[in-house]
Amino acid sequence: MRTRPASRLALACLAPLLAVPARTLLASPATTPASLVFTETAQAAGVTFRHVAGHTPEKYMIETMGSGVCFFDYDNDGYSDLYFVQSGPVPGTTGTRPGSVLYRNDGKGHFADVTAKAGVGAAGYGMGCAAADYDNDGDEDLFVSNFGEDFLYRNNGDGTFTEVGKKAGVSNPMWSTSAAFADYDSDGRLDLFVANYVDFAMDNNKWCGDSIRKIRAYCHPDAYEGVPDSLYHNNGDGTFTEVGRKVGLTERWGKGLGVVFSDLDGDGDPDLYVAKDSVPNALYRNNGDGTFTDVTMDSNTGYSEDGKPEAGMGTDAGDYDGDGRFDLFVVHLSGEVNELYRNLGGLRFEVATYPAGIAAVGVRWVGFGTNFFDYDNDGDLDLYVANGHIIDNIPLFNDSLTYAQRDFLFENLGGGKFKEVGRQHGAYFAREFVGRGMALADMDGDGDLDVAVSNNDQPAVLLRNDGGNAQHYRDAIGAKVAVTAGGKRQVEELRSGTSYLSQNELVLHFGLGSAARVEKVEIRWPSGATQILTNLAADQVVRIREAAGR
Amino acid sequence: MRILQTLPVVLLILFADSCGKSSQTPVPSSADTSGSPAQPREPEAPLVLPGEASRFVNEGVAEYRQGRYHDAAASFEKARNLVPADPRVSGLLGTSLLQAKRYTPAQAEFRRILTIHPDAVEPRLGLARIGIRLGDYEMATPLFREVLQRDPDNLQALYNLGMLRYRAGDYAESRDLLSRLIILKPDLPDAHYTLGLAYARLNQDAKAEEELHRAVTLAPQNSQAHFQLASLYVRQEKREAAAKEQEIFKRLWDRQAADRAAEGKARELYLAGDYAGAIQEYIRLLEINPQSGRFELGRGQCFLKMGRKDEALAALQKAVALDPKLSDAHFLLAVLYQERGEALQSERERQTFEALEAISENKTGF
Repeated sequence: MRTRPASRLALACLAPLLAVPARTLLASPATTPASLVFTETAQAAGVTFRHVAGHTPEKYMIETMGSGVCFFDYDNDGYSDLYFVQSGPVPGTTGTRPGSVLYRNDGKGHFADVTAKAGVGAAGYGMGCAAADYDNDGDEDLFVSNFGEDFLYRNNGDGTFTEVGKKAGVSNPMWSTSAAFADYDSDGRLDLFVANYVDFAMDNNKWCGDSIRKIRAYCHPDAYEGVPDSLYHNNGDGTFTEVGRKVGLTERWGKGLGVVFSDLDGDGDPDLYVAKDSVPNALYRNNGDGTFTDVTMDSNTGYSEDGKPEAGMGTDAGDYDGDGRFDLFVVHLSGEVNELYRNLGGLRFEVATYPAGIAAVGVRWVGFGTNFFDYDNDGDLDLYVANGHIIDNIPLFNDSLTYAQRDFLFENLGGGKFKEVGRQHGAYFAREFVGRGMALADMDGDGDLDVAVSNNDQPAVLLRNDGGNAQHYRDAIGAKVAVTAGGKRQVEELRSGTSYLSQNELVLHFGLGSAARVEKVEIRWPSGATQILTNLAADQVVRIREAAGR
Repeated sequence: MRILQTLPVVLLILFADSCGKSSQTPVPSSADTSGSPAQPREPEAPLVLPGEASRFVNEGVAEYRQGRYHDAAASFEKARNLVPADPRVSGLLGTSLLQAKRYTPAQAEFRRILTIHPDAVEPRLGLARIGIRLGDYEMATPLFREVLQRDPDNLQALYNLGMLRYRAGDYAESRDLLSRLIILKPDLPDAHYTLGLAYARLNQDAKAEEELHRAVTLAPQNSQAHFQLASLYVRQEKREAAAKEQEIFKRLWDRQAADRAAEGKARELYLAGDYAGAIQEYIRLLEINPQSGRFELGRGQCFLKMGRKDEALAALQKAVALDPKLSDAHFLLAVLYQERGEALQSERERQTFEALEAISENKTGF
């Protein structure tokens, strides 16, 4: 029931030392309009990317992973551009290697392939990406994880990039997956976390499957040893030093697939959560002195409610219940449930999966990319899950499962409950893909959040949100923003990474319901400084510079 | 690697048949899982299957024992075609299809037999188990209720409905169902575990703690119960007690994970038919971790394959002494005791197996 036309507000925050544009989008609803539709628009928007997994009869584990997608504004024109990571033929095989693709956004949701000029075609067997201005020169740089050495593309500021991975000390040779930037030690420079997976190599490929019926399948990660994650401290001179063990990342299982930095205990510094595949997830409390403490057990975020490790894929943090604390969401394998960990404060969580109503619906699906987002600008965080099984011949093992699967859109009903409503908002949600990376941005600047999904060995999907702006609606990584409108207070923070192998645009987006004005915007900058803005109109993009005010 | 899964109660009895002792198969009237382990049921009237149907059933049972669920289903289907109205043969077929994860034909079989025997319990249980596996709790819940209307003491229905009501947030009903179950089967660790969770959600911490400790007493290797105790103590700010339980949980989980990883070579030898080689590998593993019921079970399975039944019996007895939750070991012990004519022991193991398998739908994975 709407009583007023669409309107929006966006805040753009610029931290002087970080010089990173940060926008906060403030948008205002009441109920989700039935007319809200997600329209599949990749081809029409000029996005022709098709992921290549390079499937082989040997069923190398890397073929199952798919790839990530990142929204980031590489040319500083205020519009979120789009980068798809390519995998390609598996190492050791011949054939054309198509390469990753960077698309420039014209501001209206149309994209042009600028890969060749930008020089970011990445020739490895790619996994994920993360973007941030690590050298504080005012433009966003790009990290690409690989099965093999990783790449760091430094943005030259003229539409081109230079690959500096080795020189910068981040060309990690392990099989790496998701990555995220955050200034964990508050020294004003963005550091880099890279999740690493298992010790699989092309020459240690194992036979897995049904030995009785002699049907080969992709191996479970139990077949390989995990490898430790990497935390790279930014030295401030264009180089990084790996400091994981030194600063307390003691967890030994490896097998990391998803990562999110979030100030989970509200003490002003980013804590670190890593979703892990079939071993316990890891939550590290940031001690505020450049070190971390593993608080997985006490926090209750490492396992299912039954004390079992699950196959953690993508993850995100968000305040879904409006209590001012960031909760955690991790998506999993079929036969498991997607876990929602509700933040009780003091870095203690309770498993809220079943009470939230999101458990049973996911039992036959395999979740990968995921994000909290307010797709209908109604002032609370909903959820998106990109689904797709791992095993391409899964119906031979279980006739209730399919390889390609439909995605989920969970509407936040309030009271801690969600309902899966995808098929009410577009024919896309009835279609089946092998979903992997997934990211968010308002790519057409109309005040609502659009979706990009990278599918394994399939064309990418762009979902334009048509109607999400019917209700009313920010880059300084780590900035925490609280918006009060219509008497309701919402909190969000600007994060790199999240989801699976992917990254959202560095903009925060607030749905304001029916409120036409914002009473107060409170910003806590990564430096610790705070800033307050008052009495802002809804339905606009506002750029804010730290200390300088609006 | 799980070799065996649950079959309806008819299975064990048919084992005797497969061993060539009789072509007449005594089959209980329903999945009677009531009564304490010390009080086995009286044998019931024998079932006479036509000769060929009996042969197909015995072939199916043998395939099922080896984990060849697809082949077992094919054999049971042949038998079913000969005796289409026999609920027990239909139950064997449906259960094999369920274990082969062929849920569509499994559902069809259970529904077909229900049209012939509308009051039957087993097909309802089969359908409800499928409902849980598919995440269709709305389908499973009323089916378990229907089972309890017909068989109020059905352990499988009591446990699973208790679990489903817990998941639905009806902690009081969950508590009531699981309390009933524990009266019937006081030595079922998972019932105490889930009841402990329900009490915790009801903020009855003392009772939750009591039930979780009972679960630990019954199955000391139960890492999950230690996990829940740790969570309970964290919530109660009992830091020392929480740390102790966390330590036990981590140690048990680490050991179980290490055992699973270490067992790979032994299982490969087993699957390749090199049972002597597999036994040597298990002996090596037991020198590293003598407390692993899982390794003793593996050794017992190898002895069985080699026809060394006395050694199999000893290994399986050690397995359940080390880990009372190893349902596969209880199953094989029931078969061995029956073959030895030790009906009382066989019945006790069969009941324990069935009670443990009542929670099989909780398992995760592909």
